[in-house]
Amino acid sequence: MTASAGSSRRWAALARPVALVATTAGVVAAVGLVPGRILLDAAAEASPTVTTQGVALQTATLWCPGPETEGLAGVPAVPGGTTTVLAATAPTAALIGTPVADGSGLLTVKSAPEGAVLAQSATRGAVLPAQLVGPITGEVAASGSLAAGLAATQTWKRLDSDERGLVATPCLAPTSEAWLLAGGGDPTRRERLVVANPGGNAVTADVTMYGAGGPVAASATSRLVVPPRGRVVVLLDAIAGVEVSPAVHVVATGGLVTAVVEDSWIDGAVGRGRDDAATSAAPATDQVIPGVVVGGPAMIRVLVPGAAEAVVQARVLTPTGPLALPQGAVTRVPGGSVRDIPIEGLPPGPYAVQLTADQPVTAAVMSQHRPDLAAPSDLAWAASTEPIHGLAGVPTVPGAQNTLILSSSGGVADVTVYLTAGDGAVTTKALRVEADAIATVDAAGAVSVWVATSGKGVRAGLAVALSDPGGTLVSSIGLRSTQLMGVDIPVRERQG
Amino acid sequence: MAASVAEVERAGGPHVVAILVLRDGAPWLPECLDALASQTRPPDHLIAVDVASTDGSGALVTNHEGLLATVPHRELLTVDSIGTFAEAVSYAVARLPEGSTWLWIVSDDSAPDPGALAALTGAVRRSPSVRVAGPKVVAWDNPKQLLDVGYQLTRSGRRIFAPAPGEADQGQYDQRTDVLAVGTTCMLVRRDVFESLDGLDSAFPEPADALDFGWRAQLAGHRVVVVPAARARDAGARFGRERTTEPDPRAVRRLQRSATRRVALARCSTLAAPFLALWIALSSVASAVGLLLLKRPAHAWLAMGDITALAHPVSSLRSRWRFRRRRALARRDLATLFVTSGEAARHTWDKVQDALTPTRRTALDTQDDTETETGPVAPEADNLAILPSSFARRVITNPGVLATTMAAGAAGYGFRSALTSGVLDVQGAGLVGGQLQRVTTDAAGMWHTFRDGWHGAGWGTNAESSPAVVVITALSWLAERLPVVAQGRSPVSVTIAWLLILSLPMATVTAYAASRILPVSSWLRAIAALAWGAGGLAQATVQEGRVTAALAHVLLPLVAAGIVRLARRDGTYTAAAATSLGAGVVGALEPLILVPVALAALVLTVLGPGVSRRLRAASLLVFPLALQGPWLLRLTHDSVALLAPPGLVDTTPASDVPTWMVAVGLPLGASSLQALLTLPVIALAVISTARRPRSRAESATVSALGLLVVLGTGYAVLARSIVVDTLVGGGSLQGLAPPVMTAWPGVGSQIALLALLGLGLLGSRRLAAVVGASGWGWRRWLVGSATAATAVSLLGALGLGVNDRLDNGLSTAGGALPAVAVDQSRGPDANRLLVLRPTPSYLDYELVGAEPGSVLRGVTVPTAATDPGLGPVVRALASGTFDPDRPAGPRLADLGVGFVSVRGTADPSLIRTLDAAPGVVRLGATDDQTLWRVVTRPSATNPTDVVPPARLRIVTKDGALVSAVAVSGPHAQTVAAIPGGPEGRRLMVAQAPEWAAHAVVSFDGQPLSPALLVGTPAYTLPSSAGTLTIEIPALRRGWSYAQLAVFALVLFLAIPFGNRRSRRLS
Repeated sequence: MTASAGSSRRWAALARPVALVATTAGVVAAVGLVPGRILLDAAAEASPTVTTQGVALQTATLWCPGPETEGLAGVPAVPGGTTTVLAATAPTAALIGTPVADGSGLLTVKSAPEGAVLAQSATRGAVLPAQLVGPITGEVAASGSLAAGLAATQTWKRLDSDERGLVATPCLAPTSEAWLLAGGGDPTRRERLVVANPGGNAVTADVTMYGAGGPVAASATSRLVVPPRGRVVVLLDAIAGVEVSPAVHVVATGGLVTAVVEDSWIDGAVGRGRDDAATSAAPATDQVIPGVVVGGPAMIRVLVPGAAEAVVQARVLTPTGPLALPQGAVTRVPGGSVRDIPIEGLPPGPYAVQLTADQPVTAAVMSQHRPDLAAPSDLAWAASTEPIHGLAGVPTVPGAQNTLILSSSGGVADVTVYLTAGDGAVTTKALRVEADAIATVDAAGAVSVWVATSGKGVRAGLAVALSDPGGTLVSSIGLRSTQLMGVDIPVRERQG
Repeated sequence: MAASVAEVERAGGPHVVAILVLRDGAPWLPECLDALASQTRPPDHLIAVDVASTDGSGALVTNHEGLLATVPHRELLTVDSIGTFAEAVSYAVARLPEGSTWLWIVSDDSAPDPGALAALTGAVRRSPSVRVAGPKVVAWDNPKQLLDVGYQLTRSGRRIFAPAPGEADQGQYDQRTDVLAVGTTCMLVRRDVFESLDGLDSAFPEPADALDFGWRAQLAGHRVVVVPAARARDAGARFGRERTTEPDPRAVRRLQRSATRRVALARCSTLAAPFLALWIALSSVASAVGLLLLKRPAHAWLAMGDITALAHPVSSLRSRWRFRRRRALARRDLATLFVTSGEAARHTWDKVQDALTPTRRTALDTQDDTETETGPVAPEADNLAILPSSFARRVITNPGVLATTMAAGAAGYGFRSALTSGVLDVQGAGLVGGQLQRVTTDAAGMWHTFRDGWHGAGWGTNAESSPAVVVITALSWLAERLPVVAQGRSPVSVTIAWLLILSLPMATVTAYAASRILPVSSWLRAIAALAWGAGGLAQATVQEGRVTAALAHVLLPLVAAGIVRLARRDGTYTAAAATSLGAGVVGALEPLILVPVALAALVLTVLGPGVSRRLRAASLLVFPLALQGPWLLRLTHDSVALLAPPGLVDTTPASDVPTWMVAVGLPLGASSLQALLTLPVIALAVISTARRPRSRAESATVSALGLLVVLGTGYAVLARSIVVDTLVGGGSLQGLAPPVMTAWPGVGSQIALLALLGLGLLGSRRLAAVVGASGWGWRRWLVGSATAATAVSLLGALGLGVNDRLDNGLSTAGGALPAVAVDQSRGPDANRLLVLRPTPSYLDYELVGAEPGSVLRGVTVPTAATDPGLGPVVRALASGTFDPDRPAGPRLADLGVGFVSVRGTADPSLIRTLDAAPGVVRLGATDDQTLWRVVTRPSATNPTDVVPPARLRIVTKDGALVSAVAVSGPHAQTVAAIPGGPEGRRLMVAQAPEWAAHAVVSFDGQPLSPALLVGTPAYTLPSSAGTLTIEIPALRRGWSYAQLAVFALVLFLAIPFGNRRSRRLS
């Protein structure tokens, strides 16, 4: 073999690995450099992004607690009063921009658990009254074109005897928890806790009581089993004995509930009145209680549910702006306990109470209309509420003086108020609520009041005063946002 | 002139006439004549019958000096028109001189030992009743090898070969005397007996004529003995037209077997003949079938030959007629001469055992069937193996065992957290994550998925199932044979988890074993096996739970080796069938692999050398494709099914892994160090291609492997651009392209890596010649250190990989279903679990029943089932706007939903809605899910009974609930006794409407036709009691049977029966 043949063979040997690497690299480069992609499936095209959107509401339901004094074992019901449910739908003018379901609609008041239809209407804007008798709850259901913008109130009044009083409470959608602040430690003062279960399954409601000295040790009755579509009434005294400043936290498991505490107080032989405390807003560092009318002794009840002590600043909002409480403007409240802050030294009139704390708190205000210490009087509980989103409304209490108190804690807010008359006529009032101030609207002649706003931090309460020779009866109803639209969550089946 | 007959008789010995039949026997005749001449007791007379010899045989006889000296009388008769040996003998006998008493029949291809005739005549003198005597017949070339020591026969005419063909003569048969017959080779027979029996019957071919003669002699009352002291060599040249000792042995054996049976038929009693004929027919067919099943077609053909004995009834009758009235003994007197059935069975069993006993692989064998090559190991080292080292030592120092142990260790360490968190639990739920989806089922459930016309998770589907399902099913079935596994919650999941972990060592074992086909150093093979079985590609495969790819990884080396074997001269059909089976299974797991396999088979079929190799290649072309069954049709037109079947899709964004890493076989990416450490193996393999191929075949192999490297790598890179689906639930961000699902690059990488390692091993052939056989020259140092460095870097890459854990994306707990729901779904109610998963834009819901879905993640296939109303219920639940008049519970119960579970991030509003929904009761909540039960409802006809949510329920004409019906199979299949009930009652089936088209519902055998009511199928039932049957037949029954038949055939062909030696004999 010659040297040149050997070297050429050597080069030929090298050629194979070089060719292998070069070809592979070439193919990889060619494939890698080709832009774009090979789509093998039509499904590979991008699927449209789906977002949750509002659709016309088809059904809306609110639950009224029913006669509060009925159904309590061993304690007779308070006779002489009538429990009336007033159900209303917002006037069409207030629903501009809101999709409304096509076709007809129906507003119905039914009793639960029987399901008997007590009243029915197909007219938007009218107020539908119905009477509740016995230990039942009231179900206010609106469907179809009437579903959007539903509000209802339950009232009770009695003018004679020491049981006299005016009770008004909003009918609410069921929730999994409720904060209720009402009652006191006075003799012959009774707090009835009414827990209703609108669902089809039995619900366990755990009741935690807080007092001035902190959480009250749980007793056997602190766990209530509420039957499907039924209700349970208990005395708070049965849970906690005498508690000077009771506050209640109801937590439902296995379903949703509505809950109120009815506070009735007879001082010796003198009726001090009664009212329902609706659920307060969930604990937060800012709370506003709208619809407070000071006409006698009044106080703020503050609950700090957390373990840490809260420093609570309290002030009232007036038409001209905020005003610090003359006394008790800053209060330290230990964790897990309730503190009553008296409102003193204020001229009578409408207010909103604003609390700012460094720990989450929840609150309510009790005001008494008590011009004469010895004369019978009445009390009103106003709970803190969430700001209004969109639209909130409430039927007015017939025969009483209804005053709408608007407050804004989130800057200057433009508000439209719709007053619906008994004949269906709607009066629209556009007004501006200054920052940290209130505005009042007289609702005389209106059967329902509706507040529409796009502002933040607007709250509204309806102060009710019923003049009577035996003494003016008062109550307060906080306005809750009404459900305007349904939420359509797209569903998608997944293959395993 | 020698002594006359009278003189001989007087001398005390019989007068013996030797009859020598000649027919072109020149090759053997001289020895034969020498043997005759050297007899210690020579025959007294010799008559040679020359049957038309053309090679001068006659002259050889007449001119033989020895004979002239020893045999006093010699005659040569020449004839032309004689066809058989028997006729030639008879011709001679007819011309014998008067007075001869004994005939000694000698053919020209036999050579008696010098003392043979003396021993034979001695025997007949000692015992006057002996009229026929034969010698011990041994092989012509090897007198130590026995051919015959008398004939052994069963009563039914089956010849028992004792001595067996090739058996050495150690005197073991020398005790034998009385036999049924002896062969014509140097047979001594008394002349009067011969004549009274009309001589040999030429109706029977050799050697059956001798058998027949002996049998007749015995019946006529003459003894026939074998005289082992007399020995004759026999060349076995047939007395045909062509004298040769190399005829087609099979044809001869077949003919002989048939003739032997004919003798039996002719000589048995007349009454027994029909039964014997029947027995021969049945037993030959039965043994032929049995031998066919044992894959001995040649033996079966022989056995079938027996039946041809029945084809000559006239000739048999004629023989029987000729022998009439000559029988002197009763047939039962001959009983001791026959082989008993017990002995015959023992003989058969010995043969079977002989065929089954594995042959010890001896050093001779090894050298025999490989192209001898010992790699770089010095011959001295090889020789050491002759010294038997201990078994343990051999195991420990075996490179394959070391590589497998390392792979097993890597798997164990890589899966350490899975192993410590319950993957070993046979009752557990296996692994979930990566490509593995949750299934809770056993092999039977999986089988239904494959077979049933309506199957699968949720509402079900009629889509065809991939044969990969069968592979998983079969492996699960095997796993369920282990104790306790079958009782587990999900044997399939457990099997899959174990397979994933075991696939690393298994792939190493198969790669090492398969590489044996290349005669290279076992250490290099071990390195290659480890690179294949536990390297980056194998790790990436198991890391994402790709169980089908992992199994293909195990099988691919064997298939590749099988293809090489098939192309070789020493390939067998069994190996070809096994390769086809393996390729078929790999094709089921990774359909794309069918393409290179089919191409290779096609090339070999067209261009392969020799018919056998082409046939074997053709089997590889046909069987793997045929094994896919109807799925093959799908593969031809559905490119997604071909390129990206479940488990072979990739969801890793292409930007996450650099292209070069994919190109070097790391489809999941790796750290730079790990990737760099992977390179030396590749580099060494590439460098080894520099060696010049030794032959054309090797050159073609190198080219083919090189092409596979290029194509495989190219496909791996390309695969990431083949988009098969958009990702569901990917939560696409605004303005960005949605994440996509592509084909998995790993299939290409598997092809490329396999070919590359093949190239590397092929390049290391005859390394010893290059590096020098002995001593440590620089070449040796270079090759040695390069190999060692490669091994170290490979181990480094492997260690880094497993240190990062192989079970990162897999979890043992993920996706476990509530046990109570699983129990109910498997019970008679077979109700389902509705799983709700809130996502940002959708509420996802999934219907989970006992029916398993896909084990592996794949492309979303549009469902064939129409939702019978679950979507609206879920929508209502999600939106919280439930129609009070149509509560959720009963609607869910009507759809066969027994439980509702909300998973993932807690959605309080959804949970509250469900809490409040009538007919649904919360059971409890865990960290990741909240569970509700759909409550039972009272029966309308019997209010004390409650009706649980169930697949099947009976309602009245008005729709009021009556009772539930128990189901026993997937998708409401059942056989249930139904009591009588109200007129017009209906059976409601909680299935999708399309189900009705695939289910056969019958009541007491009468088929029922469906009607759709509220979305689900309904059937009107008679009011009488009866049996309800619901079954779901296979989608394409004919196809399924054909597929099963192909599988059975390939499996049959692929399983080797018996040892290699017995196969070779067949």
